[in-house]
Amino acid sequence: MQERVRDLRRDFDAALAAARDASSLAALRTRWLGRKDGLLTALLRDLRDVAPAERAVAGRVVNELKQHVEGSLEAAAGALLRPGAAPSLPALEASLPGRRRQPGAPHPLAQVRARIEETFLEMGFALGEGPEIETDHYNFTALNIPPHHPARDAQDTFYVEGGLLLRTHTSPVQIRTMERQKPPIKMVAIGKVFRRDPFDATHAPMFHQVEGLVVDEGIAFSHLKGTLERFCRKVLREDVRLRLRPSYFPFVEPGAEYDVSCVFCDQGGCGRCKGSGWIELGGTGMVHPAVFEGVGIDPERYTGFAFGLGIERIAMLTLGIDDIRLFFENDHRFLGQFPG
Amino acid sequence: MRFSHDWLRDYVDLPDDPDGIGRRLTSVGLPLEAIEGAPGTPGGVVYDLDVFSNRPDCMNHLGVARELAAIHGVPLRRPAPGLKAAGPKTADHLAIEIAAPELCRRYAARCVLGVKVGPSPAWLRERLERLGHRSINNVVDATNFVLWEQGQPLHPFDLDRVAEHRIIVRPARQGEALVTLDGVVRRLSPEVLVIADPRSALALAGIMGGQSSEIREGTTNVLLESAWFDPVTVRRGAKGLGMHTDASHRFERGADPEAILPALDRAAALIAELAGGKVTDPPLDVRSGSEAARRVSLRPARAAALLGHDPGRARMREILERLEFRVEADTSESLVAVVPSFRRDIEREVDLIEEVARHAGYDAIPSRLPAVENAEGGRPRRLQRLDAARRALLQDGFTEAVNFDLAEAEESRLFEPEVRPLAIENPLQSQAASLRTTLLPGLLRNVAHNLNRGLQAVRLFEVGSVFHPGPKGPVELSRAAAVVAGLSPASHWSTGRHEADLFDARGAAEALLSAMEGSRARLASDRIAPGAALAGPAIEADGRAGGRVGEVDPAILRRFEIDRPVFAFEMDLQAWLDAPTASRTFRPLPRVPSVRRDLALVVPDRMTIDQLEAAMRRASPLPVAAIEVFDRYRGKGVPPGHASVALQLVFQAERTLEAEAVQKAIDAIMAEAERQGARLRGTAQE
Repeated sequence: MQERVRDLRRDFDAALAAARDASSLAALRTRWLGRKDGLLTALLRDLRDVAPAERAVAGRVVNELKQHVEGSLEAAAGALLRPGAAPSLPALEASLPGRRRQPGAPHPLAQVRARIEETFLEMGFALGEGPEIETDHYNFTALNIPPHHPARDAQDTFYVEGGLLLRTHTSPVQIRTMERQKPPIKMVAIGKVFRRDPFDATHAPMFHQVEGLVVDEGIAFSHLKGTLERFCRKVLREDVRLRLRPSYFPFVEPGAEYDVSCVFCDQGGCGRCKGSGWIELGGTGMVHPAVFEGVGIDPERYTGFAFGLGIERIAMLTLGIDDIRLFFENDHRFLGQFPG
Repeated sequence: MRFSHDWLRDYVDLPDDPDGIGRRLTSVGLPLEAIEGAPGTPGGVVYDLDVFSNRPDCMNHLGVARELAAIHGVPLRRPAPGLKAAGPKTADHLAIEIAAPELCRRYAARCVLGVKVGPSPAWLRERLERLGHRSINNVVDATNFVLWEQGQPLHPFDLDRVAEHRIIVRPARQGEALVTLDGVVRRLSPEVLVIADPRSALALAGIMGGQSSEIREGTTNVLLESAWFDPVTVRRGAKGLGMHTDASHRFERGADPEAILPALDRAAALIAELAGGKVTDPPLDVRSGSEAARRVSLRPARAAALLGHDPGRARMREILERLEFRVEADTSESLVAVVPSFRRDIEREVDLIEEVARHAGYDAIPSRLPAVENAEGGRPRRLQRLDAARRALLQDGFTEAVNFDLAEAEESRLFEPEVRPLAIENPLQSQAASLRTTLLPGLLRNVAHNLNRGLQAVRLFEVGSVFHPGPKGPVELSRAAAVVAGLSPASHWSTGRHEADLFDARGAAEALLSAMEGSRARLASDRIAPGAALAGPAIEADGRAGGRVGEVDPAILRRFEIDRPVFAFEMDLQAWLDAPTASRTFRPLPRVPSVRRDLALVVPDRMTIDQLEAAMRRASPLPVAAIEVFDRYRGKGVPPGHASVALQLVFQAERTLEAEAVQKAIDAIMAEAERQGARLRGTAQE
């Protein structure tokens, strides 16, 4: 019996030395201490057959072995939990690429759109929408651009059968919003617009615009300036400066175009700002009283401002893209450069 | 529009600081586009300014000089007409009849008799050429000089070529022909106003003169026209004829009816000075009524409130007066300003406020954030859902594409044979002559683009609008579509890449459907339309078609020059976007573990997984939490027309399930599956 116990102990020690992880330790535990077929269980069972005289001694060595097995397994399991106990990992294995899900990339225009939306949502604006197919009324007349107005020249229009058109700007959303909602109004709408321009590096027959409208009692030109300044600083860079200069859009008065200080040369003069130090972003102004009258808002009581800008323009500026066509080719090599 | 620094100096004193002048002009609404030349060089400095369509008064040197005089607070020097003492009577040489007085409110003329047409002197040639205009002869150049000086377009006729020396202003006759100065034969319609003699049309009123009465070498008597034409008539006429001239540009923006005589006198005097001859007097001046001067009042308090900045009442008045508004009354409440006749754009108070603002300087206005309590804040549900749809497809590994809404009708019909695409009446090109009715053609172009550039994997989606005709006009519908071609993206080196197949497209559709919270749309695998552009399962919501998944018909792919299989789906989102928000509720977690059993079944091809699953659920006496396909095998050991499908059934009850109960359930399930045509291939137990 004692001999058998010695052999078993040697076997156990060898097996324990070979066991490197939790699962082999568990297998070892089952093999030795398993209730049904464990080696020690069998040994204890066999103790019954030992002659009574030798039983006391045999019982002691078997018990010692049992304590050794239990204690060793316990210690080995504990050792596995200590730092530095893991078997060493070859550097090559450690350097192989990991397994991960590969999401697709959102379109860069959608990313710019999302950033602009978030900025305005933080400023308490509501997001609005309007149809892409519009009537002459919403696209022009209600915006104080009657038929045969020269301002229509600047927006070469696609006409759709049935006397309709593709909106040339997102400004019709101003009218639809004011017809639906009484002041106070504070909304931005982003969407597609269409111009009958040939497709080249700087023009596309379809592009995206942001339209903003704020109407309430006591809204002033200074609020327009403050809002655009905040927006430009959030979306472009914290330290950009805003410049407004008089301009003409029939649906605003006073009207303006707004520029930001060139983010490429810090107004030192470069190709992107054509040496002027300023980059043109969009148009803005105080809502024209004729527009208010058309939608039944009293221009004596309420005032407001509106603004617009191009998403492509912002995307091209912030990402350094010089050809608008890249946005619409949907080349994976282009789109993949801007993972969300 | 080009302006010469030296020419401007004829009317206003200017510092030698072209950059500063350019900046100041920009700050009052005459943005500088470019500066050419340098002070002291031949020709001097030329400013290229963008003059907006509401400011025809600034489309000449005197007008820009007026703005500069107001900016610098210095006087404006008006050119003197310089006409000498009375000459022969105009009425003895000319008669004028206006047959359309509402379209030509004023027509004035003088004659210059006995001129000698020849080249212009150097100073005049240089002035015109510096602005980019060709010198023609002394008579024509004199009229162009006055145009660029004070903005009134003038037209000289060869008086001896005007039949009976009678001018008639009338609408053109239908089909009437006129050869214009540029040598083009114009067929006219009554939309166009013409200057005619009793025999024929001589000129397009306000647009361009005619060849027959043109000033040429040998012309001795000149009829000089200075008139006011209706802006809309000039614009419509010029557009209809595809013409745009310096004259039409100004008339369609509104000329100054009070500038007619000063400009006429100035040009007549200049012609006499340059080409000799006697100017007739007094001018003929036919007008139908006169326009009363407009009076607009400005409340300084209102201006300060609208701007958020108060330049002060005195400054407001000063600005208006410098711009030649006459302040008629100055009460505590308001200033009443008489609008100068050249300011066609000033109609109401806010226009005066803009005058104040641009000359007081937009830079002087402070920046503030408005405090507006907005009842309708945030992102509307529709936009949230469109974003959720995009996110689902992005997470499934599809990259976002944006295509034009303009499409070729024939390509749209490949995927939407029942829908007539809405036509664009004035397309730029035939490939974009209608509005898209489906997103797929655009995405297929993108597939071709990418494959042609050697890319191995294409996985693109688009969420956007399509346009269908409806009973009450066009309907704009939101859709999502995705395409997949080539290899699957390299996900990990330990797993291989596969050629795109139906399950990539179906997976994308499933990913989208599961993100469509509140939608009842589902994949209807038993609705495979033979011959459809997409060979695969339909998408249905409440029995209505909502899209399709499948392999794109190879014949269609050939049209797009794609030689690899493409799998795609397209789905209507409109019903879901309009649907109310579904409420989500919590389900208590099971208290006992679930029991899983794997089954391998031989299933006939006519059967769908949905049908099989429905039969199993129906037959099971125990609650079935899930049935998942984990393998599909065709080949040896499986009869043709069948596939072996391995399923894992997950039972989940309130109590611990005994092996016997589970076996009973499996037996019942199998009995039903067999009745439907499937049979057991083998069972396995976890």
